[in-house]
Amino acid sequence: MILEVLTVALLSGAPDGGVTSEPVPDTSIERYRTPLEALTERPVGEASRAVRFDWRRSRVGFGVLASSLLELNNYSSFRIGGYVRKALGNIMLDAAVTYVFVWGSDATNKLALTPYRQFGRPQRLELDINVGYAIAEGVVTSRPGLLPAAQLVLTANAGVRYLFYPGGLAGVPGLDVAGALFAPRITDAEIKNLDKARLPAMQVDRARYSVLAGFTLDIYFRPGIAVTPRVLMAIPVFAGMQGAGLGWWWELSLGVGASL
Amino acid sequence: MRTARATSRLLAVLVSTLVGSCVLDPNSGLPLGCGKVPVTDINASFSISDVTWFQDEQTMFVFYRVDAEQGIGPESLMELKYRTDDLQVPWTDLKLLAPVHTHLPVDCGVTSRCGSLSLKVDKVPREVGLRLRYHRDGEVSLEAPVLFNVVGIGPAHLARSLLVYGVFNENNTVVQWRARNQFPTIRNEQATELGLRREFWVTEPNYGDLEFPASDNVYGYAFSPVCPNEFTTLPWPERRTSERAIFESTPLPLAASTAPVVCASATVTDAIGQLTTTAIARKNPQVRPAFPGLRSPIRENVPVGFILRPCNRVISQEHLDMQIQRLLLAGEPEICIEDFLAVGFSDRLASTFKTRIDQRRAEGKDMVLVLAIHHDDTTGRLGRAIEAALERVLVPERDKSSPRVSGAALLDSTAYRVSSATLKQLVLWCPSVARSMFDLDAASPSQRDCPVVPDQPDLVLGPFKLNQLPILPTRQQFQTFVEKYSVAQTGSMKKITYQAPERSAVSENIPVGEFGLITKFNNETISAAPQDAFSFCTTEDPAPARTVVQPVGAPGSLVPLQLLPQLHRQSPFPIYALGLAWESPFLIFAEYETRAAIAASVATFTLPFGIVGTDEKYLGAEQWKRDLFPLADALAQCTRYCDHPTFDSAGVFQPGARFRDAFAEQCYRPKFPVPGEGGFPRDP
Repeated sequence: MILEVLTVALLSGAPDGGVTSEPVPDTSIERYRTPLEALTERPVGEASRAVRFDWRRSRVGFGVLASSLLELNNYSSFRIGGYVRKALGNIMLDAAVTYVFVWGSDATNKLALTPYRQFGRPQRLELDINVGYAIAEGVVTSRPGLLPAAQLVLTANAGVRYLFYPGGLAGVPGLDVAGALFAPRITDAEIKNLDKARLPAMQVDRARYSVLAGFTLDIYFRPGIAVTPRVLMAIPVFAGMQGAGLGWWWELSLGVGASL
Repeated sequence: MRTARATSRLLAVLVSTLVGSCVLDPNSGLPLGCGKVPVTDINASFSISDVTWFQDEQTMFVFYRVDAEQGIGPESLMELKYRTDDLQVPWTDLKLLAPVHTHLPVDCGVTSRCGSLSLKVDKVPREVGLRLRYHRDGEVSLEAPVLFNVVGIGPAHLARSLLVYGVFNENNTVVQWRARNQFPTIRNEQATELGLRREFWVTEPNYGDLEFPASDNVYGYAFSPVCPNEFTTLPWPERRTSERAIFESTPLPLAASTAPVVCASATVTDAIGQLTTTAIARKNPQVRPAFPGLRSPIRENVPVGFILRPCNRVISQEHLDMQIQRLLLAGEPEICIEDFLAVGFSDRLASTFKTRIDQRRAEGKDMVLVLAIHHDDTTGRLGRAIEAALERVLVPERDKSSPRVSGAALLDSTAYRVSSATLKQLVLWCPSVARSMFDLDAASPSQRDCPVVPDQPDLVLGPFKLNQLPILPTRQQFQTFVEKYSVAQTGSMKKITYQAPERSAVSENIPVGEFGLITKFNNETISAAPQDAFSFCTTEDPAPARTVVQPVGAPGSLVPLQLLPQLHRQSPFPIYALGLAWESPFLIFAEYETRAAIAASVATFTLPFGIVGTDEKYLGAEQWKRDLFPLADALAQCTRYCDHPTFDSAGVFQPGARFRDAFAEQCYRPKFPVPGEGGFPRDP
């Protein structure tokens, strides 16, 4: 662009430049213009970041979490467990182990009287690996006033969840256990074992892995107390391969912990 | 900008993938995976729902199996209903009904429910129903299409639900008593799989001889209320089991070695009490290999060589040298043949052969006459004269005992076809006129093993020509090759050996037309009693197919070994002589050097050279590679109990398959029961 402007300027200034005419305003640079206000506001969060708690500099975080699964079937599930996490710049890595309690409902009890079944998952252990990226953050004033100002961080999350059913591999030959542990589908031998553990009218979902994505809101209080509500959605990208019967389902969780 | 576009594309692909993962519900049009989890039918259906009532036992047996796509829980119930003239039983949980026999719970998997039940029902039931109630607290059920049978009063072996029989182990020393479930639509092993266990016990065993009961009672169950009085009692204790088989703990005494049958009292239970009747165990047919194998020692034969050539002229010295080299005849005597049209030529030739043969016979080894025939006769008269001479020599030698002349190997100058039918089986005349598709005669060994090879065209690659000469060529082939390449590229013979079976003083040849000869080498025979039976088994080994039998006392009656079972059954002979069929009397092993000849033409010069390789070849009858022709696997001979049933190779007792009838043309490879292998033998 600069070369074009200079070329135009040279041509117009030549002594034998030909016909003399009115200069035409060059508007091609207009689309690159940015208001001064915007230029000054854009780096505000990075150039002068107000920090009540610098989570990026924490060595490790840990805590407990509880969550409710909205699987869109007639079973209720509640998870409880613990997590650890570690910040790497704007990225937050976390891992969690939880136990899931499952119970039926009046609807499932009545469904059990019929030749119909509904996909669900028996009680189990779950292992989560998540990656988060901070997309917005700032310092906020808390209400009521006795609470100190807090650091709010909104993080976009994606992760994988692995399901382990205790007793599911009972009686499976040792050589087959390793293969079954990492298979994307729950094996027939596990289905046979889980038939004793499943709730009435439940057809055991075959998926062993879930892909989840969502958002986390971390609220940090000095000296590092963290309250973390999170919403995740299961994305059934591998449902066909895994023979999963559950589709899109939600999870609402709340974690309480500390960052050191 | 590029980054932004790539991000947009990635998001679009991700969104389309995710949207694609939502399968649309055909009813509502809404994505299935995005909405509530649907409920699905388990699609349960009965694959077995069989009910049989035995009038004699006043017992009704129920067998069922229901399969579904998903688990049928422990809350699910199997229910039965029926009505008789005196009783109406409404839908009742099978577990609440008192069984007559033992029925074990059966685990058919999480997607199935199966089992069995036996009930006391006095009178013929009607309106029998069977259903699966999905939940004990629910009312929804799946009614089965019942297969209902009534078995009326009749002989025990036909009208009872359980029969008892006995079998023996391989040595016919230990009895195994077996029970067999007998239902119209359920197989024996299937009843066991569905949980039915029947107790039976055997007492008062004794042994003796017994004429077999009626042919429809293949197991011999209840052939008589009690065992024959003339039987000898065995001091064995009672044997009782609720499995399907149990071995006697004591072997039969030696005194029972010739007794074909063990009889005992077998008791089974039913809804009204017990039934005690007879059960029999028949010994397995006593079978052994009829003949272990024909052994005929194969000896290396001494070549007795001659070079037949015109002495008054030279046709082609290079060709003559090649013939002498190919047969390794250097230094062997020459016979002049320019007067082959003269009267008495054949006699003179035969006399020369015989004289030298008799000289070499003193060495005590079998011999092969080896001739190189160098000539340019195109009329075939020389060949016929040589044939006549060979016939005079070889035919008498053929029937002598060792040392003798096994046959003759010849290398002719042109392709020739042996005309004498007798001589075809005694000579290997190379090269031979190939057999054409219009030839009605069977191929002679010469035609089969060394037919003249058609001229191979040169492979031309630019200035190079490539070709190879057959190891036993005609003179025309040889000379054409030498003109293009050189004598040095024609190859050479390294070693020739001749092998033939040694004949004993009692060996006997039996000509079989043009097809060859059969030799009985050393009075090999099979002895058989009239009641014996044979079983022939086709094996991969070609030896049994080359073996023939001749009933002693019936000269001329030669039959292939595989027909011996039928022959002995129709007209039994006490002794059968064994012979071996052959088409060529000896086997030549030739080890030679071949050359892939190459001629490179540069300007007007041709430079021949070759690539040397070693090859080896068998000519004649390859059956003489070995001296033992095993027959043990091919021919089995039953010497006792040949009309008894026996086991097949899977270990299944075949009560209707008598050895004499069933195994005449089948391989007899029985698998016998072994003590300690469990109480549930294969018995479909």
